[in-house]
Order: sequence, then structure tokens, then C-alpha cells
Amino acid sequence: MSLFHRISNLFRRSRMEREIDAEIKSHLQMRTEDNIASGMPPDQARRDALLRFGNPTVTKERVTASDAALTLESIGMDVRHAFRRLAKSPGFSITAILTLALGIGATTAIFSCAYALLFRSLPFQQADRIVTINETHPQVAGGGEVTFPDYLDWRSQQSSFEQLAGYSIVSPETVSLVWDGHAEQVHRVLASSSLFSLLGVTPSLGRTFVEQDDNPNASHVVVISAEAWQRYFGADRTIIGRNVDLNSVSYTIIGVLPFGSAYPATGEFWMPLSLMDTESQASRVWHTVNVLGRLKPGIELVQAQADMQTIATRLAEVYPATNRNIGVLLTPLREQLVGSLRPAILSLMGCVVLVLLIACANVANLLLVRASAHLREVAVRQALGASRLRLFTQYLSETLLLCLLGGVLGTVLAALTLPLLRVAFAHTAGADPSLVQSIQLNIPVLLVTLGVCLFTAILFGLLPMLKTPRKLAEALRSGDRGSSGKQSRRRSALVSAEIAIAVVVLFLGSLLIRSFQKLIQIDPGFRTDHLLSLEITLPQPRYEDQAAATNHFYEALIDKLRRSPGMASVGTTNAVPLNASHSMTRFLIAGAAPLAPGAFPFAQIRYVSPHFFRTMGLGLVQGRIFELKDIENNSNLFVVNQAFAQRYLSGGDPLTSSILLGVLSPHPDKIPVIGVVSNARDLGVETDAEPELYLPGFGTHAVVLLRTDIDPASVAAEVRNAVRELDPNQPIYHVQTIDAVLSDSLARQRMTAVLLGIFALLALTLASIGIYGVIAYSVTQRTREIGVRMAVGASRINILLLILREAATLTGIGILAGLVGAFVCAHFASALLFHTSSADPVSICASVFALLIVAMLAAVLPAGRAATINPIEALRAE
Amino acid sequence: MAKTDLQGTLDLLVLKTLSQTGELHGYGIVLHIQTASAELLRVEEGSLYPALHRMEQNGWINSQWALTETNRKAKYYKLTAVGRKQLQEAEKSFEQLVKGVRAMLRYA
Repeated sequence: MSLFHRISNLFRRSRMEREIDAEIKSHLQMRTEDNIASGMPPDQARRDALLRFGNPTVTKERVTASDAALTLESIGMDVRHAFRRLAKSPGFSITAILTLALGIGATTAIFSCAYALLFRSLPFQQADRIVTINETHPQVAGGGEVTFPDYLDWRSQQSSFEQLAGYSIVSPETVSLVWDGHAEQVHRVLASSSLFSLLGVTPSLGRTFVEQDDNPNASHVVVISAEAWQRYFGADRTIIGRNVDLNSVSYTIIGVLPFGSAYPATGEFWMPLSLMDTESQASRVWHTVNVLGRLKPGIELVQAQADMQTIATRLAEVYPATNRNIGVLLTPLREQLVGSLRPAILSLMGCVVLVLLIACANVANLLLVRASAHLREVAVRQALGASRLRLFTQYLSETLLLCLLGGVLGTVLAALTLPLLRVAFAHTAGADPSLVQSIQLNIPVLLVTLGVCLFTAILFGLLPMLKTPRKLAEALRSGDRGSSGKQSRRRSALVSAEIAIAVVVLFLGSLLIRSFQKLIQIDPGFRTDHLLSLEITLPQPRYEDQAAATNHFYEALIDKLRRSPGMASVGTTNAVPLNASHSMTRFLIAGAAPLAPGAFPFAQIRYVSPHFFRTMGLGLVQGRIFELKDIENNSNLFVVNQAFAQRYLSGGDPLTSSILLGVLSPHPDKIPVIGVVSNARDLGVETDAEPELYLPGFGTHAVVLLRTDIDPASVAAEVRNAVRELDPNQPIYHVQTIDAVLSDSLARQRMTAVLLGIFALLALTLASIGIYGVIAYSVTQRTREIGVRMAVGASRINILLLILREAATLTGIGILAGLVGAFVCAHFASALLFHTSSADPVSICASVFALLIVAMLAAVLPAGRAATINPIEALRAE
Repeated sequence: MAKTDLQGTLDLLVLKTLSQTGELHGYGIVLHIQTASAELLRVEEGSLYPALHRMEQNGWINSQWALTETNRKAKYYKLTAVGRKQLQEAEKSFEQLVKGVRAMLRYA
């Protein structure tokens, strides 16, 4: 409130009051004068006037109350009064406000994220009718891409969808954009013409694809995202119709999408799906196409699932070699975008609600204590003529002010936390970037949270006030021990509940921290430090996989890099370590029978350079690794990892085995195994090492790994220069340290563990405040009793134990009740746990002991105070 | 059915007083009710003022400060048009109340 406002309010208020005063005074004077005129002595005349008038102060109060113009005024006064009262007991006020702020802030922040990620509608038309149609295979985890011919068959045979759309983001994932003398590596998507109409996205400039673009030999056209339009073309509105070079081929820009509507969200350039390489288009071996469908009105997901499964079964019968065991899984689009995060988010939501509950219980407790301390004052003021309504509004304004301050502080807290959460989610695998971008402070969530706090505060702060005895004498008699047994029982129940909830939160928090600990203790099988990874995609057709030009480029690059200072070793592969890779192949051990007729095992396959193993730090177990001449001679040789050797070659000497590759073709290649290397968890530390096959060679797309002696991030510029010297138009991209990749791959677990850890600490702190409050109050209430006990011979230790026992009972009941809840909740959270039982004894002990210790510490202070009570003073004080 | 209560009766007395005298301060209203009712009705003086302020808020009367015959400053109240209408209604409903109570008392 501005100073001016306050002064003018004071002025108005006092003018109104002065006027009422003057009116009453003139009345009394006129009566007195008349009395004197009728012969009374002056002082008797005055007394008679007052007697006839009644209590002028009460009259004034009632006149004030009936002046509607003053109602607002009195609210203003209540607020000022409330401020003063809160300021007078800063301990209470600060505790209550901070408790509310923490509860409101944490809940608002987490629910705002949850809303953006799980509940807000996607930026597409009727997005709840859009499903992703993934392929499943019992041997191949993840993925879900189908082959191009399968996609075409699905599209022509299905009857459950208005539309199917296919898009591909692999081979290659990125292309080099040459524009205006700059070379950039951009994310491209190959998309069927139906993609944008299915999503219901209309371009903000130009057009999207038309059906002709689905034909083979479609024209080279490209649609760009608004973000790419801004980043690469400076939001030039005349961009439509211009030509750009993508991988040395000229494309015409035909449209720009609206902001935030890119799908997939990483996409920047969309080209017709018909421009996919002819080999992938023709074969049922290359799984490259992601499929979306828009359900027909009235068709449910299960019906569509059954329909698609029928088609898949039919295809498996017609093409057993390739389609055997292939199933279909329909997933709602949102589930696909954030589904893997759902358990983590739900557990965070659950825990933050529990923290809010503890906060509410705490505030309720504080208010109950305060209300009972006020009973006497309320009774006295009522006796002096204050109306109940007036008292009620006054305490209401105090409560509202408390909640408001807590709410404001909580909002600030939430607003400060949200950017951190946004960063955390952005680094989390499985969170769609466009959804993470949309995380912002959610006002309805804030209001609901505030409402819950307000409701609690009113319930516990004001209800006791309504029960004040109407008779002064009664209120004063109950005096100091104004809190009835019922009230203190209510407070004890609240604290026990608080402790129970705290046990649940603590247990979940420690479970996730333990699980995360186990996760980071996992040895990935290779050194992640001092390792830099970057990607290069050489433009086709100038370069081809395993061609001389490609080999020459990479050999020259590796040679240059190895000689730069601080470099220990340089190798190439085709998959970034710790990123789940879908680079899989069918194979067969020479001499072994297929799993079933036409069914072959799968393994991860990597094309690597000779120094790859040394760069990663994979040890040679048996045989030899590749040499440069293996690549130059185009020799087909296998190095396998131990997991592969154990699973498939355990029968004999791996080095005498051969493996058949290309088993679907009439003449598979028979390739000898020359070495066995140690396992690496290169699909992610959570995933056990899978069987892997290594072949020597360079592809047009390569992941360059650099093992350095110095800070790996510092060599990035040198690599860029080296590449530029070889080919000035060749960009490098996805430059990142493997430590960062590791950290990002654990981001979800880290975030969940850290947040739940914070919630556990909050719960612990709030519960300890609750215990302290109740015990401290109980000690002041029992001062006289303690005095009597001491007078009849209780020692200070007896008193200390008496109070501690009270605290221990409350805590014990709370912990027992909490453990039951904790086990139930942990059962639901078990999906989040890694190598950790949902009844982990360490976590149980940790949470129980933490609570016991904190509870006893919180009780020792007031118990100590009780033990030092002077019995004489305690008894005299009454 | 006539609706009335004690407060309504006080309002009626005040409104009627102001319609009979034109303009009067609180003390004057007390005296007038006393004399006009032949000393039968005596208003509790303190309770008059909340009623006056409430009626002013309702727009039935308005007020201004003026000097009394004895040169003392006092707040004078006057009926408004709305107040006049309110008076008619209050009188009517009071008549009915009286009729009703009388009928009740005569009932054998």
C-alpha cells in the first residue's frame, strides 16, 4: 500500500469517527442542558444524560458498523491490524509463511511441469485421436520403425484410420545445408504428404506437400519449421520458392510451418518420403519409417490395434523371411512423446502433494495453538462490546494475510524453480522438446494450491474461534488451560499424521537416491572421461559407404587429429556410446540351424576403425583387432564382444567360428571371427551389454571418438579446423563429451532422485517443526503440572523423560502408520527403481532413523525447558 | 401478512417524526417521539444513532450540520423522496400489524 493511500485512509477514517463523536457529544450536551434547565445540579444532569444514552463507545461501534462506507475502511484497518499482530509474533508468522510458501511453491512448480508434459493438449488438431503405430519384435527392444513396403501395405489394407502418415528421421538423420556461403548440419525428416494434414498443421507461409509428392521421382521440394526459418534464413518472408542445397542437391522451399508445430519436434527440414533411397524403399529389411495414424470417429484404440495386428499377421504369412514375429503396437501420441517420463512425473506429483499435506498440517497446528492462545482475548473483547462478526472478520483477515504472503512467496519460489526444472527436463531423454518448451507457471494450479492452504487455514484458524464461550466468566475460568483435551488431541493427531506422511516421502526419496547411487556405480565397461564424440555425415553420392573416397577422407582426418597436441587416440564408429542405437542385424552362426525356419537371432552391429577399441578403452580378450589394411582391402572380418561370444559361441573356440551375415539374401556372406573384446554398456548404463558385432569400415555417417589427455571439450575447435582443411563445406555436429552424454542419459533418474531428496528434506523439516510446536505448546500448558510433579519429588531427568516420552509416542505412532503407507507407495514406484528392492532395508532404516533423530532433537529443546522449570515460580504463576 | 419488528417500528417512528417536523437532529427526534406519543414511547437514545446512519445509507434520509436555537452545532436529518415512500409502506404494514394484534386479542 502506498504511503499516500495509508495517510488518506487514516484521515478519512478519523474524519468519520470525529463526526460520529461530535454528533453523540452534541446529543449528550443538549440533554444535559435541558436537565439543568429543568433544575438538576450540573453533575447529576450529566450523569442522567449518559444513563439515558447508554454506552457511547458501543453506540459508536454500532454506528460505524452500520455505515456501509466504512466497511471497506474497517477491512483496511483489519489488514493493518493483522500486519501488526503477525509482526508481533515473528516466530509464528515466519514459520507459517515459509511453510505455506514451500508447500505452494513446490506443488505449483511440479504440477505446472506435469500439466505441460502430461495434460496440456498437444499443438495438433484433436491430438487425442492421433496414435503412433509401432512395430514390435520379441528380439528387438525399442525402435518401432517399419520398412517402407510394410508401411505401404499397412496404409492400403487398414480400415481403422482416416489417414496414415509415414516419416523417417534416419539414414541420414542430418544433412548439410549450404546456404549463402555457410554450411550447417540440419535435421531433416522424410515425410509422406499426409503427415501435415493428419496433424492438422497448416503452414504459416506457402504450402505443405501434395499427393504428387508421394510419387516416385517427386520434385525436390522442402518444408521448413518456423524455428529453422528464423535460425537459418532470418525469418525472410520471401523465402518461398527459393532454392537451397541439402547434401549437394538443390531443393525448393515450398512452405514454412507455424512456431511450435514441428513434428517430430527435432525436425527442421521436411522432404517427401518418396525421396528416400531406393534400396530402403524396395526392401523389407531396412526399418526406417515411423507411422502415425488418425483414428476414424467411433473407432477405439483396441479395435484399431486388432485391425493392424491382423494385417501384420497376414504380412508375416506372405513374407515369413522378413516379417516373421513382427507385431504392431498402437500408442497414443502423447504417450509416445512423454510416456517414459510418466512414472517419474507421477511419483513427483504424489510426493509433492504429500509435502503440501504436511505443510497444511503444520500450518493447521500453528493456527490451532494460536487460536487457543487467543480464546481469552476474544472473550474479553466480546465482553467489551465487540461483535462476533467483527472479531471473525478480524481473524479472517489475519489468516488471509498469512495465506496471501505464503502464496506470493510460493509463487516467487515456483517461478524461480521452473526454469531449473525446464533445463532438467530438456536434458532428459524421453521428454519431447516442444512439450518441455511449453512448461510455464500454471495459474489454475497455483490457485487450487492456494485454495487448499486457505481452506486448511480457515478450518483450523477460525473454527475454534466460533466455539468461543459466550460468557466472559466461563472463558476466563478456563483461562490458561483454555485448550481442552479435545484440542490437544487434535493437534497430536495432526502431528502423527505429519510424521506418517513424512515417512512415506522420506522412504520414497531414499529409495530413489539408493537406486540412483547404484546406477552411477555401474561400470559402463569403458572410460567415459576425457572422451569427446562428434558426428560427420559426408554427402552422397560424392561419398558412399565403404568406398575409397570415404575411407580416404576419414583416414586423412584421423591422421591429422592424432598428431594434434593432447590427443591420445582417435577412432570412429556408427553409434554414439550410451545412446540406445537401433543399428541391428540378423545373423547366423555358420553351421548352426536357424531358431526356427526363417527366424534368425539379432545383434547390434557397428562399423568401426582400428583405433576404436583403444579409444573406447575396450580390452582385447582373445585374438586380434582390426588393422588399417583390413579396411583398405575391404576385408570382411568380425570382432565380437564377450556377451556375443558367451551367448552364441560358447560351444567352441570363437576364433575358429564364422558368422553368416545377410541371411535373408540367397548368398549370405560368411565372415570369420578374428577377435573378442570386453563388454561395454554402450546402449546406456541401465542396459546390460548386448551381443555386439564389429566390422571394419567407414560409413558416410560416422561418429568420431577422441580420447584426449587434456579437457576433451577444448579440442573441438581443432577438429573443426581439421575437417575444414579437408573439405571447407563439411560441417561437424553433435559435438559432446561422453561424460555429458552419460550425465544426460541419467538425467531423468538424477532429477527424480534430487527432487524426491529435496521433498524428503522438506518433509523432514516440516515434520520437525510440527513436533517442536506441539511439544513446546504442551510444555507451556503443563507448566503447573510440572511444577506440582517437581514439588512432590520428580527429578529433572523424570521431567525430561516425561516430555520426551510424549514426543516419542507421537513419533512412534506416526512412523508405524507411515511405514504401511510407504510400502504401498513404494510398490507403485518400483518401476522407477534400478537394482533396488521396493522394500530396501537400508532405505527403511534411513528414513525411520532420520525421523526419530529429528523428532527427538525437536523435542529436546522444549523438554529441556520443562526440566529447568522452577517449581516455586510455576506454582506461584497461577 | 404484515412484516414488522422492533427495528422497523423505530424506523417508522423516526420517519414519521421527520415527515411531521421537516428537519430535526437526533436529540430533537427523541424529544418529539416522547411528546407526540404523550410520554408513552421512550426511545433508547443510544440506539437511535445506528438506525439514523443505516437509514441514511439506505437513502431514506439525508443529513447536514446546522446550528440549533441555542446556537449549538447539531446534525439535522431530513426525509428524502425514497424515505417518504418508505414511510407510507411502513405505516401501512404497521396498521396491519396493529389490526392483526387487535383481532388476536379480541378473539374469544
